[in-house]
Amino acid sequence: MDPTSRPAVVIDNGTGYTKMGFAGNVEPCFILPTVVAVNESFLNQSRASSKANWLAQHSAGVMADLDFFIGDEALTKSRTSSVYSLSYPIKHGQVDNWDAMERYWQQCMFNYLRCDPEDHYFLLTESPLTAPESREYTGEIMFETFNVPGLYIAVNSVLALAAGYTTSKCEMTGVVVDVGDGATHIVPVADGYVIGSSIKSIPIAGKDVTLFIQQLMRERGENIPPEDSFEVARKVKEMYCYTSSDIVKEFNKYDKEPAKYIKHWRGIKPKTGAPYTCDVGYERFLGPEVFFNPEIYSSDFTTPLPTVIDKCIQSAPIDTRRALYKNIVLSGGSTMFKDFHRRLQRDLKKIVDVRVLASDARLGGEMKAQPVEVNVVSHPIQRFAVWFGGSVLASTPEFFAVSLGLWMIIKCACGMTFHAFTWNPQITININIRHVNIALQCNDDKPSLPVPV
Amino acid sequence: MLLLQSHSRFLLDTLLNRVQNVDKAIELDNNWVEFDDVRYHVQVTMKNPHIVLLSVSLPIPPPETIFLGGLPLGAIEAIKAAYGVVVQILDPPRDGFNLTLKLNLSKLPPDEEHKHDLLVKIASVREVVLGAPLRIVLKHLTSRTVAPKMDQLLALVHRPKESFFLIPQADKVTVVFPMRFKDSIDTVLATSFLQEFVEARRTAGLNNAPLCMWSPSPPLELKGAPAEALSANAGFVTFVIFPRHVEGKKLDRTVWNLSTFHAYVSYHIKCSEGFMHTRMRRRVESLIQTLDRAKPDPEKSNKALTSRSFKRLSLKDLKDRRNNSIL
Repeated sequence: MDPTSRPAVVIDNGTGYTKMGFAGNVEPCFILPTVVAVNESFLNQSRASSKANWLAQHSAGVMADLDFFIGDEALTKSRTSSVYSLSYPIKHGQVDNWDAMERYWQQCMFNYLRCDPEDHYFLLTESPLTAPESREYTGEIMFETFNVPGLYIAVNSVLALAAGYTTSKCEMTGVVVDVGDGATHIVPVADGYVIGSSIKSIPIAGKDVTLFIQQLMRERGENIPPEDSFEVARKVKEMYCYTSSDIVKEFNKYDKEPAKYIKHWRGIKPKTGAPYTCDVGYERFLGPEVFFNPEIYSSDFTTPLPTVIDKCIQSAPIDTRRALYKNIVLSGGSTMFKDFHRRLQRDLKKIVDVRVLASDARLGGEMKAQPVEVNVVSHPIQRFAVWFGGSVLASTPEFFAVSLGLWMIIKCACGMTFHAFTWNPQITININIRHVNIALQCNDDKPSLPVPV
Repeated sequence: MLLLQSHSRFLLDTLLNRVQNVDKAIELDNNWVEFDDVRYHVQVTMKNPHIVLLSVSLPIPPPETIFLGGLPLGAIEAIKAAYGVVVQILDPPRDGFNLTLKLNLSKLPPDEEHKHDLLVKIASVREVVLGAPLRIVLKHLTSRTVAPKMDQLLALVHRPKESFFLIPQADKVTVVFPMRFKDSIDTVLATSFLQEFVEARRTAGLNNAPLCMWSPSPPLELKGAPAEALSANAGFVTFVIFPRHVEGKKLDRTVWNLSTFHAYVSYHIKCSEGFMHTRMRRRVESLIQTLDRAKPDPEKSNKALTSRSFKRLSLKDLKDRRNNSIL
């Protein structure tokens, strides 16, 4: 009966895909595109006709609160029927549309995981740059709509590091290079704590790779129906792309033996149903190259990923730098390109070596610096490393103690509504609101009134 | 998405995936929990890739329900009838579970359609096991008889330590659900939802639906039930099932819908809460817009032009700076 005796639910909402499942498993139960198809035809009518609106809905047999789909079902629904419009609740790693997000969670719980949210603790993830308001909103939805018994919102980069923790070595210091679909973050973590001031983020992520491939294929004049071209580009990215060690050599290889390297994509036109084929050529290696030579894609941002990582580590406290270089962990679907970690390690090593040589030269051979070990860690579960880390964390007994056991809204003397979390119902917390110290004691589910100290 | 499906989506995905790559040996060991505290465990070993061990644990039954060897009445027979040779029941079941099934994927029917149907049936193992007693009662209703030893008030488990009640008669079966909710808001919503639900039954389109009643106090049919089973904060829902509701293929659907009625209500309450929040957000946004419109235009004072928000550097300052940076 006790929720702590059941496995916690771990949901990692990414911009592109959502990974969800139960703690203690090795793999998420479902990996779904983060997209909701909503029937907006009844929602957007004016308020004046709300009564008529309701009747119209009723007679049309539409239940506006239930008429939506998520994930792959949403994509197929929007293709076959014009009533549904797609909405992507997360943009650039931040929740953008809370209505859609709430619906998405609802479907995750009831239709995919089929669990009763009142029975499980929940572990959700957020990016290190998420605003506290967004966290509060998440808490509000989870506690007030779904009545979850406990919630823990973890920083996804720490979880990605925790995923490596079990596969290789016991290390909670490292740089997490999280390249998702909508956001790329480079997050240094020392002993499990995020070094907030050194977080770097770059405006190039998986979606940009897709857009770049789409652009390349369009410019070459491949025969792809325009309404399908983004999806085809995404599939090409997921199936054929890899990281090259040298673009010039790669171009030569393709020109010498086109039959060996150029792949073919077969598809069916969605409108007419006619089959078509197109070639997949240079974009196979040019797509991922966007991270290493961003100038081929955009003129606004031209710093390659290895340089950004190096800058990030250089801005971290000096005593952590060696450890950070030693443990660079990849996470997110867009780090899955073949040999991505090799290329990253090589480029980064080059930058570090140049710096070490320069400092040696400056010192004039009096002192020799110890060589810096650069190590980019890659593991097979990179795509859902964050989820796996969450699964590991949520299956430890300590998890239930640190989860927010109680959701409280304290109305203070000054009239403002203040949301507070407690870690444990037995705990006394002190909240400092506008220099008024308020002690709060709670011994059971009902928070007692705040007492000024 | 009006109703919950009877098969577990993840279990079906796992089985389909296994069937497609039966030659590829992989290690599988997954645990998960569904609503009403039904737990699943799936295990596949490298040694026998075509054998899937599926364990199911059921909600803890309240004292008034009849359980035989950890399973509801007639469950074993129901499993054998539904699955045939593909499934073997292991005794004793895996530790902590009520039932362990050994699925032999090499014995699946070769025909694709049958195979898929059978896999869906296996994925709805919860319907087969938990719905077994209900199925027996409703099956007898089709022939307008009453199952032997099942003629008085019958309690069936549907949630941990909670049960619903059946009153089987030759020409109808009365089903009573005591509805309980933990959260106070949920209770209020559930009460009004159920009242609307009963009201909706009266519309013309639903003439053939089972009779449905709601009352805040236990109905007379529950006279013999234990006292603790009769406390429900969201009232009691009664359905009267007639033989026409369980004819042919309708039987499966009726069994599933009845045995997950509580989950259905709770799902809808969460959905409507989400919908209300959407409406509330929209309202707040429109109110904020109105407020913004009411604001007087920000005073276009020439303050910004005259006041110096930054210090102008003289040439001397610049020189100093340069010297400093060189040092």
